[in-house]
Amino acid sequence: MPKPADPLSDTLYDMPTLNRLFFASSILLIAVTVWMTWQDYDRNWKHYQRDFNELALKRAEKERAALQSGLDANPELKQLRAAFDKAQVTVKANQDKIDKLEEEREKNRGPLEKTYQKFQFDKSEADTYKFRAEKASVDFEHAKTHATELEGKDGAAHAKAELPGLEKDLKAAWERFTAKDTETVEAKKVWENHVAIDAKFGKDIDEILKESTEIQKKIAKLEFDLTAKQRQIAKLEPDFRKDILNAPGMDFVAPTEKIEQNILPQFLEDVNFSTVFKIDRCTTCHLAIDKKGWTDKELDGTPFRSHPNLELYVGDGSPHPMSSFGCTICHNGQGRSVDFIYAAHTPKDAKQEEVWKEKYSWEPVAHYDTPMLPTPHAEASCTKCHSTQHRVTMADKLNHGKQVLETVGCYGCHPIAGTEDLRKPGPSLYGLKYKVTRDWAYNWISDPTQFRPTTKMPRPFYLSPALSDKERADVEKRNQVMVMGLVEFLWENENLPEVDKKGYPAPPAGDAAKGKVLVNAVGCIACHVVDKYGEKGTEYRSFGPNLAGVGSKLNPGWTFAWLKDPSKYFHATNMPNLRLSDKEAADATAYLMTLKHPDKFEERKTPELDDTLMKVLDGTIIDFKKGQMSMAQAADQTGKLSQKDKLLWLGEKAVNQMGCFGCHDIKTFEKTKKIGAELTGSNSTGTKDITKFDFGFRHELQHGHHPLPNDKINWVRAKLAEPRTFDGGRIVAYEDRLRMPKFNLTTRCSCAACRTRKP
Amino acid sequence: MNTLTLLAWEPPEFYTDLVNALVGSAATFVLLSTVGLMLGLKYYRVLTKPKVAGPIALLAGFLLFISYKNPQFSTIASLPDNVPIVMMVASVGFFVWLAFRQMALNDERLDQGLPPKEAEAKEVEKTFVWPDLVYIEFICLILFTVFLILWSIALKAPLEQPANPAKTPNPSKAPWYFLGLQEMLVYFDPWIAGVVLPTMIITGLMMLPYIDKNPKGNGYYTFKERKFAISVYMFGFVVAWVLLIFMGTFLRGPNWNFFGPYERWDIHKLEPLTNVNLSELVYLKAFGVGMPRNWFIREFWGILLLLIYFVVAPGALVRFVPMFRRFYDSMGMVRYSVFIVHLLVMAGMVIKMLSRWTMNLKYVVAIPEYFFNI
Repeated sequence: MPKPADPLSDTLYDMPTLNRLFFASSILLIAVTVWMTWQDYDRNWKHYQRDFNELALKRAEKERAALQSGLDANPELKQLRAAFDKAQVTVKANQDKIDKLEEEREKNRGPLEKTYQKFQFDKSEADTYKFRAEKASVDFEHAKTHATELEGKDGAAHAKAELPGLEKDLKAAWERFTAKDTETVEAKKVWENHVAIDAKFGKDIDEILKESTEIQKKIAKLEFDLTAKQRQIAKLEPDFRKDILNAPGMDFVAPTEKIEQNILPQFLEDVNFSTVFKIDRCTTCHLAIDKKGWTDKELDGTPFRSHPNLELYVGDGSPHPMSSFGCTICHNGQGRSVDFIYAAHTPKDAKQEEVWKEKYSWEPVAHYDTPMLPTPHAEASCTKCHSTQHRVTMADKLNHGKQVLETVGCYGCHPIAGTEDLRKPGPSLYGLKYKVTRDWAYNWISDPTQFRPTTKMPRPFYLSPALSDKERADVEKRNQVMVMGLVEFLWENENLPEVDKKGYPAPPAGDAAKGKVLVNAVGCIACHVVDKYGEKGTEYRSFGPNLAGVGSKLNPGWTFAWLKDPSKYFHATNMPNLRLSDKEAADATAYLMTLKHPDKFEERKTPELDDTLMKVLDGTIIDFKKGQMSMAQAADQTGKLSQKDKLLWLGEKAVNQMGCFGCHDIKTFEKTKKIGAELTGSNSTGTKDITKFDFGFRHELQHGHHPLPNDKINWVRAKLAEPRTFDGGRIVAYEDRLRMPKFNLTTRCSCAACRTRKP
Repeated sequence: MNTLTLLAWEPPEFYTDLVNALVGSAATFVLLSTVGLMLGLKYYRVLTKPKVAGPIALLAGFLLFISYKNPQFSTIASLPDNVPIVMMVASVGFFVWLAFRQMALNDERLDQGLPPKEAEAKEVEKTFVWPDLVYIEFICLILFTVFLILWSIALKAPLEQPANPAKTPNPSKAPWYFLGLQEMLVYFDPWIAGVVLPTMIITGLMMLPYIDKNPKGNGYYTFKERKFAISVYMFGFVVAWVLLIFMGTFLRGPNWNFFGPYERWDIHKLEPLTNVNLSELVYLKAFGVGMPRNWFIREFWGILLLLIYFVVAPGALVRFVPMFRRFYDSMGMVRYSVFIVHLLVMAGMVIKMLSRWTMNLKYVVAIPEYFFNI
């Protein structure tokens, strides 16, 4: 601190220096206060409104120029203008007359307004007197009745004594009212007189101007659009008065830059412990969303674009007008926010995310439950209202997703509202042992696509990620014994009606060439692809499975019986009875048996159950058992089983574990509950909180490139593409691994299937 | 190394690994801080010399600067609500230095038989409240307001994204000034950590003037004449309050796990929580027998230990430690009791923390039958 220059000073510090310090700090305080006020005032959305205003002005000026040039070329307008000029000559000639009339009219205006005022005043006074007279009259009548009632009682004299005074009051009130009323009528007459004089002068002037006025009206009609445009421009043009209205501290009165909001009382938002109206402020920045024609290329990347489908949304005539639906009911996001990030904008792809990060320092909202759906996924919201519709018009992706969901049979394992009545997606396995060989079944279950690349059956085994080669080898061996067990179980648990239990004897000999003709003619190829093996484009051709290669799969006796009457084997099959004769069926069977698998699938065998596999078999059974009992008990129980019983036990466990019964009829599993999580209802994928999704180490494992954020859409996409991916990096016991099988979905299918489902 | 390369310099891995190892557990962090404080109090005369303190401050500043180049550190330290903690650590450091520097200078003078600096003739002269006090205070007030406004412009509200009452963030942290108390919740039940301990902080601060009757140090800085008082206070304030806040802010991550300042906050990190009660240590480990079924027999040893700590120890201290004998003589029975209970609670808090880190001690007395755990 500065010491005083004068050593004799009383003060400890030098006052002039302190004064200067005080001055400087006060100036600083004012400066930072102004800065703070500006920071508070200078909101992002105002910049958007200014930018939009500029664009709208440019647009309007362009339109005005177009209108102007259109009018300039209009011959009718030219004629009218010429006629107007001609009429003006007449007007000019009579100018003296008009001036004189105007002068007279002006002289009359003073008395006119004065007499009108007098009339108004008299009238209001007369009304007051009228009320007083009414009141005096009622009072007098009341007192009279009262006096009559009191006749002969206490207070009668007093009541009577009041009457004359009241009568006098009434008379005076009546006189005052009638006098004023007469005066009012007089005043009105005087005023009306002046009105008549004024009207006469007006009529005289109009008479002289009549021709030119009419032409003027016609011109105005032609110029109507232009005038409207000019008015619009005047509103948009910069103006110091607007600047004052929008100035900091003034902007609470009637600013032109203000937050636009759409209040939607019919939609409630749950804000925990309370519900509030939905309020969407999106239009504060998306200023052209309900306007037609804001579609120019240079508007890309700005919020000033028309809604791409005004016919269906937003527009007043559309089925979903903005005034009753708002924006966030479909798009999600935080409608109340006018901040880019807090409104919970979601980029549609990685490229847009980069752009946003650069431009807006975008980051995902941390705590908002329903961030905006990325534009390609907006159709997910249609289901919110249109859940009962099987097909939602114009929601192609959503419809496709629903179709995929039914075709591949997601509902086999996951309870999904609306699919309860559907039959199980896969064929019955009640009589599998009559249909195929054990080796075929073993190899098919191990990897169905090896036999039929286009199959709908998902692959249930050999999918889990492994941390080491040793672990992978162990899991593969366990998979092998699981599949062996499965086959054993299915062979021991046939459940066909009595009639078919006799078996399927070899069919009569048939002619394969005739069979081929028959298969092509009788209608098989309407549902089945027969001749193309695993080619692209054969996936969706048909209703039934691709038959290329069935010669390496089916037992001819079973095939013959099946062709004769499919529903005898599987009551819920989609295949119709084609009413083939024995001969025809035999021919068709012969032909189908010639359709051999190109890779000789029929020669693949089941691995031998050697000592190593036996050990694995025991170990796997013990691991499954020890969840329910002590380890010693598990080992003891397992040791007591014969080899066949071990396989049967593990097979039954495998059906349970992998949920095979979700898609196929399997004996003893007819009533078992579906193994998957429910996808609809209050805990549906779309509604469930993000924290309830297990991402495992997925984020951490994406080395070397930009990791995808842990959001729902990425979760579903990853789950459908690689169902076991979230086990990656984890050390998980075999029996605790994820169980969803891998479907043969193209990118389009898996994207479509992850539409948000809501009840 | 020119200035530019220095600016681009990131803390090397051996340094971040070393710091993470040293500070990356609550035990070493508190122990190192306590040892640091003790060394500081022992060598305060040397350490507060500008020639020594200056380079230390520069080094600290340099380390802080390069730490901001570490992505993990800068992510946490740059959060708008953590900025005040960084400022607090710096300002606590500065003011502690300032006070101890004055003490060191005065203590030198006292050693030479001179009066303290504040007692010199030219300093004891009286000055006016106006303008010498009020005017200066007013200017400070204005300048501090300027600073606050500038701060609010630099780090605008809201400090974090809008909250969602239905979602608890992980880690879920108290306001910064309560983080020390929140740390206590790791070691004590809420009724102790949230009620008893804060109450005793307040009553302790309230009773200071009545316990501490030492007139030395009134109106001047000195350490050597009030070593015990200042040391205890410094421990309570710097270690048990400021550093626990620092710890709660920078070293406690997801799932309330402990992380080094440069360690990534891995949400998957797991630490074994195999804590045991004192009774289990006694019966299972020492005696090798099963737990008694009667709760009183089970908890007898813990109760005995507490009784020894709070009833026997105060007397024993008076009997066997000359310093406490002097305290007792000068304070009398009542004051001494109040003093010793507060002191023991403060020490007990640290002892409990230490026994958690060294022996995984959960409770000294655990009676879940009556919801009573200490």
